[in-house]
Amino acid sequence: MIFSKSLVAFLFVEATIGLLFIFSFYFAYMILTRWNFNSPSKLQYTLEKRDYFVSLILYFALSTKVVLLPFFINLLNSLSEKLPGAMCAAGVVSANEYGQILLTLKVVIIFISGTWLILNAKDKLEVNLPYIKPRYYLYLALFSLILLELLIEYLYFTNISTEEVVLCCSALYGMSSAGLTLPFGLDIYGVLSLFYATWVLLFLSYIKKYLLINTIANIFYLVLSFYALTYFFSTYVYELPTHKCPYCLFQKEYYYVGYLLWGSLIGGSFYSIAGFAVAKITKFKTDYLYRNSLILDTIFIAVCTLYVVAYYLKNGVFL
Amino acid sequence: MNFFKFASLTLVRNLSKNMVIFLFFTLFIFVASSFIFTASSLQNSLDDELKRQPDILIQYKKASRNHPIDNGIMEEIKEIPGVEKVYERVFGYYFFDTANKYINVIGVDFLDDEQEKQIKHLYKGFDLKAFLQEDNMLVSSAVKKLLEQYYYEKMFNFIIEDEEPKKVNIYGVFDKKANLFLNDSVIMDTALAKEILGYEENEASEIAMIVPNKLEIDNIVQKLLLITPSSKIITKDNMFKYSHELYDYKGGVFLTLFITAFLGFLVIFYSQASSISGAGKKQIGILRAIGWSINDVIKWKMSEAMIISFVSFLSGVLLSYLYIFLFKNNIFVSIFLGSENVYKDIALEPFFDINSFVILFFITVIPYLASTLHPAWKSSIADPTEAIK
Repeated sequence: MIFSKSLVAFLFVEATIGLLFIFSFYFAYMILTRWNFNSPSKLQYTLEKRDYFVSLILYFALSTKVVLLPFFINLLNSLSEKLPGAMCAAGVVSANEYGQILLTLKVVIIFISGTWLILNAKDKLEVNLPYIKPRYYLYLALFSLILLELLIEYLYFTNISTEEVVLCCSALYGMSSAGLTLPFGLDIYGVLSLFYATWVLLFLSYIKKYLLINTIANIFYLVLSFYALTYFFSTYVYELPTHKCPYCLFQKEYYYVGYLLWGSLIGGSFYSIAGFAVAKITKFKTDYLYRNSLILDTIFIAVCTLYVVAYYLKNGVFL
Repeated sequence: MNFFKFASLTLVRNLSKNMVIFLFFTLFIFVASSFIFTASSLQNSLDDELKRQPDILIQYKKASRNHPIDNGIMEEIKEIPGVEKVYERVFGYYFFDTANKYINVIGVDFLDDEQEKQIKHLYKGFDLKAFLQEDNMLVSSAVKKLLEQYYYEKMFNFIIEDEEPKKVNIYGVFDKKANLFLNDSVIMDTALAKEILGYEENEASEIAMIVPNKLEIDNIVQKLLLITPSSKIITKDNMFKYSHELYDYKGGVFLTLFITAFLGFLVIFYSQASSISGAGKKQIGILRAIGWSINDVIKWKMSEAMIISFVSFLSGVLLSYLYIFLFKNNIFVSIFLGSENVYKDIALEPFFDINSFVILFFITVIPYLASTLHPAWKSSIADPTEAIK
């Protein structure tokens, strides 16, 4: 078991959000089972009012979660001091099998609750709340994910051993690791060309309004970006060809650039996926979501490329 | 934005009721942030101090107690490549029997440039020649006060086993800035300190070395283990790690207790926000009747809660900042440093770290807002026709 100030605060806030969800679950359950817009009963009238409460809680939960995610990353970085062998969050995340799952889950929860809120805003524009059923099915998924997240958080933090030596990022991602596995059997230049090609595809599909292609390309872009950032662009940020790590980017030495890079990448994918989901469920146009997505994806690729260009201009060679 | 303006106006309208919440909440934040400020300031000063410490220390332990170390091994250590400098350090507690207090005796080699520089920094107008001519010592203001209580104005008699009492003159009182670490200390020449602490001439408390290249440290530690296999070797990294762990632990324990207390307090917030007076109900009824939607009322109520919590948060943090860093010897220091030995005369170095600020925000403002969600919704859905009747 590991213990620190930030950890206590973090778990407390997470528990508060979990509690709010449990609090609202009864309301949501009633809405799902008893909702009938055409009924003039008192119950229906109450349910309509309860819908406001559930959306209020979701709104609060999402805003807190978005603020909490960078804090969580920072917490992981600060915990690395306590674990033997860990130099950054990479070691802390890999300290047991729950770390990676937890990080993924956090991003998924932000995606779903964000989509839920956009859907909610669209729903409130209509008189008869036509999208309430899909909204509450989504809520059910979110509710179970939040509970699962709490459970995994508990398991994760109680199972970090301060005795066992964990791996540092260069052992996990660096040259020496046997785990240097790029997708589709490509080498790093293959990944890079795919990465840039995907961005072009994103751009074209946005101009031509092929929204399904845009969303699929965005998911592809997210995966490729992970590899491109970890195995190629990060070395330019660290200015060291052997230092490959997606987490050290968040540290002070590199001006916290990780928050910008990962923030824009995750934000870009979120808008595209949410845009697709909302367009599928409702009849509203979601072009502005795709526009946001393209802007954020472009920020990501521009910052990454700038690091390489700046390095080349400064030193006259590539790494 | 309009909601914020309206909310601030309605808050002023119910001033007495909102004032109570505001004051309570401010008090809570004041206590928590005082603690956090104290902890992070102490931590920061300690980190600064540790940076000035030597890179490697060797101690000799017997039954895990500190034991004098033979300084003969210094010759051997000097031969290790990468070690720039090796020196002995002498310190220990002298028990002042009459007062039932401990005085920390620190020996300093005044002929060593680096150590002398640090002393000069502590005491303005330090004259080395005059100091070394007789048995002199520098004392902290707290020790000076203690000695004066027992009428030792100019000198002090250290009682040494099997020998005559050793008379040492008080040369001066060193700078108060050093009080955090040297509050109960006196500084004197190494040879004199050894005599008072009962060390032989070839003995020291620990052996310190300076290693300019940090990458060499692990290597040198391996070589030191060959020279003295049984001694304890402490690197600077160990010191940092230990100090951070200690403060983080104490801070975590306090936060856990604080959260427990705060949870109880939230129930009061909750019930207070839930109970709406007849006039309040009428107010919401009128607003709903003139066309406000449920969402508007919720926004207004949440804006009220945000204004209260943010203003309380800022004023609580500001007050505690002033209290902790302007007033000497605040009560929170004793939680960390204890208060059993000599009188404390400590002023904390102002220090503000954003992480502590964020933690404080998370454990106070977020739960407060969470506790007002349900009341805000509850008041917004009241039937307007019922309310106005």
